[in-house]
Amino acid sequence: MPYALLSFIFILLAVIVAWFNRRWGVACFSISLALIALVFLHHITDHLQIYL
Amino acid sequence: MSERRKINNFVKCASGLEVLAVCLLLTAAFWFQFVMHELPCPLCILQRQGILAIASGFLLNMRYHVRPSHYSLSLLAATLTSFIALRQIALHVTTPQGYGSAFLGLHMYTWVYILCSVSIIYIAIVIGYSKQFELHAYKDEVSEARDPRIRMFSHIAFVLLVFLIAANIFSIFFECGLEQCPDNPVRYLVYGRL
Repeated sequence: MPYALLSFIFILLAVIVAWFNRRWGVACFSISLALIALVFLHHITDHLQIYL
Repeated sequence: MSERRKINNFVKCASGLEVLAVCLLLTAAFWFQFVMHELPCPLCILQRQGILAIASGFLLNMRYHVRPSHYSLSLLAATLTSFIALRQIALHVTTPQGYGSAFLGLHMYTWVYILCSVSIIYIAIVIGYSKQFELHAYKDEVSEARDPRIRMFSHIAFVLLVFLIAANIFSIFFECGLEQCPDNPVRYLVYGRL
């Protein structure tokens, strides 16, 4: 599973959740930022190997 | 019209315009992808995600009471996206032709870096306008624009954002399938298998 696809799906989830519930939306956006940062770290270094 | 209502209408309208600006950026990325046939690389996909995350704070301000924490989310997203763009600039800075086509002499990843820097400065200025904040209001309460036209505009901006994210998901699925995206994509992996 491509990590980029997973994190994009999470962003879509965050946008929809944020429209209906502010707190959960903020939480989902924060998690999606962390996911983007993790995927970025996986791509640029050899120190974070993500296997699913 | 009271001053409070004028400020509310102005800030909600501005938030909607900010979300639309993000949608415009993503539409430009799709133009490069489908018209210029330049498929996004993994770093390009990450930059698209980062740009979408910048819209998060503006989306929350559009829907709920305006709060500084919403702007903070967008600031963090803009900072992260600028790092990703800077990484791509550094990878291609010694290559004369760069990566992908250029617009007004600069490649897309350079434009993303510039736009992220501009958005950081913009948010820093906007966050200083303290009259827009409704810190004493119930923060989880839906608080859309009172003007029905601005309310309709913000709903359209939300629908457009959701549509563009969904389109990106389909695009990445067709490009990469259920595998890790190639570093230098030249064709749609799933489309070729159909």
